Amino acid sequence: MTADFQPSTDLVRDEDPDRALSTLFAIVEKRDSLNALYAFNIETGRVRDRVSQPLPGEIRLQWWRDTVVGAAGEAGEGGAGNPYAEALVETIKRHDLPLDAFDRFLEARIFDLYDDPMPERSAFEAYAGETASALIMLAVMVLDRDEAAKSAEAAGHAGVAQLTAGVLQLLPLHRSRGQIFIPGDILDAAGCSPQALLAGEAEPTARAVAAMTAFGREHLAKAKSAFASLPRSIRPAFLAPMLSGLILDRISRHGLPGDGRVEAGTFRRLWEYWTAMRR
Amino acid sequence: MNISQAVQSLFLKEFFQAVGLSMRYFFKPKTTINYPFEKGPISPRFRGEHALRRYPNGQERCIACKLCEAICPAQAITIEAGPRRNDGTRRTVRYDIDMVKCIYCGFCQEACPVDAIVEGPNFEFSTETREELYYDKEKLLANGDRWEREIATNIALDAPYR
Repeated sequence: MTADFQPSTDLVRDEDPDRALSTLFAIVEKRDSLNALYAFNIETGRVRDRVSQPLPGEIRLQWWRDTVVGAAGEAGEGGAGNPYAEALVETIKRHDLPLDAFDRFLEARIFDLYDDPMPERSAFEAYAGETASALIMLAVMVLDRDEAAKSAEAAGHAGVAQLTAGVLQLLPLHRSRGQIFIPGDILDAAGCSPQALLAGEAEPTARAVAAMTAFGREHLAKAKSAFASLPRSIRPAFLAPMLSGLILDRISRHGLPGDGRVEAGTFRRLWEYWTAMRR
Repeated sequence: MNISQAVQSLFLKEFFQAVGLSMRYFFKPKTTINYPFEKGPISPRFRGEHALRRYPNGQERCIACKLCEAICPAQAITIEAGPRRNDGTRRTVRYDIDMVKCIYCGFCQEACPVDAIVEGPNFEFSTETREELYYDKEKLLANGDRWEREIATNIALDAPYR
């Protein structure tokens, strides 16, 4: 049975326009699979938005683990009626994607459900590696399996840069929930206590944002240098993460706006993507 | 009675003050509403009558995973899953909610991996008998069809504030 990929495509178009736009640079046959991966990322990422306590959130993530990791395995019975899961299971089978990556992805997502502060840079990089970078690697495997091994370094750094930009943009939301995604050692180095960050004290927060921006740009620079040597067939997987450069530049130039929204227009994004594909 | 009181009485000062106060309130926006034709605003987070939602193509969302039944602290939900169908999906053959037991905690909607069971914005579902508060699958799906637009809007409005 062939899964219906349209719900995933619609979801990505509505909720993650950066990635939706980047899929247009992939060959047509691969777009459905990319959308299925990105829809999975959206669905699991917004579990925290749907729950008031960690327990129902963990139940949801466990359901995804049972459904996707279990259903895509040998005793697979499909995506159990969830259109996003069905599309993902079909994608996993079609491209023989590693189930361990999804298992670790879901394990890392449990961190979203709790308000424990991010302890240090290495923990942040590990979280990014299991989520954002893993998603890039899975997209690369969909696009061109043979080139996947060459892109691991670029995917690792690009994922951290993308997560950094995302965390900065979501700072007001995380603050309202009492979550701290900025690593503790970066906060210490910037002279910003977790309490000051949560209280929204202007100066310490600005220092922490500046330090986090520098951290993200450091990873982005490494990702960009690795990106230059990547074949064009897998570049669409890196387009949305590379957009974090634009966001980090704007944050460092104008500071973080009150609502955290730093958005690039559609034409600007298209231009960035087009130039990245031509490089 | 001194002169000041006499003058005030003569010119009906208190009478005109009272008329002025009445007229001020007469032209002010009303603090009451004409219920049930008008209703006060409710939060997108309001947890009212339950509903089972469908996808835009009309397919039932519920996949009979029974997570809502498992998490329900009042044990108000009873589900029976049907056999697995040819397309690999499973559907409920029975989905009952005892609205008398329900404590409206919202755990069922939070645990649902496909956002099928929700507590909608409807708060007007009083009945004359207890039996009418034992909701079955047809009733819940009908609620979902009726309230889908409001439910989808409320979910979208509430998401950034969780």
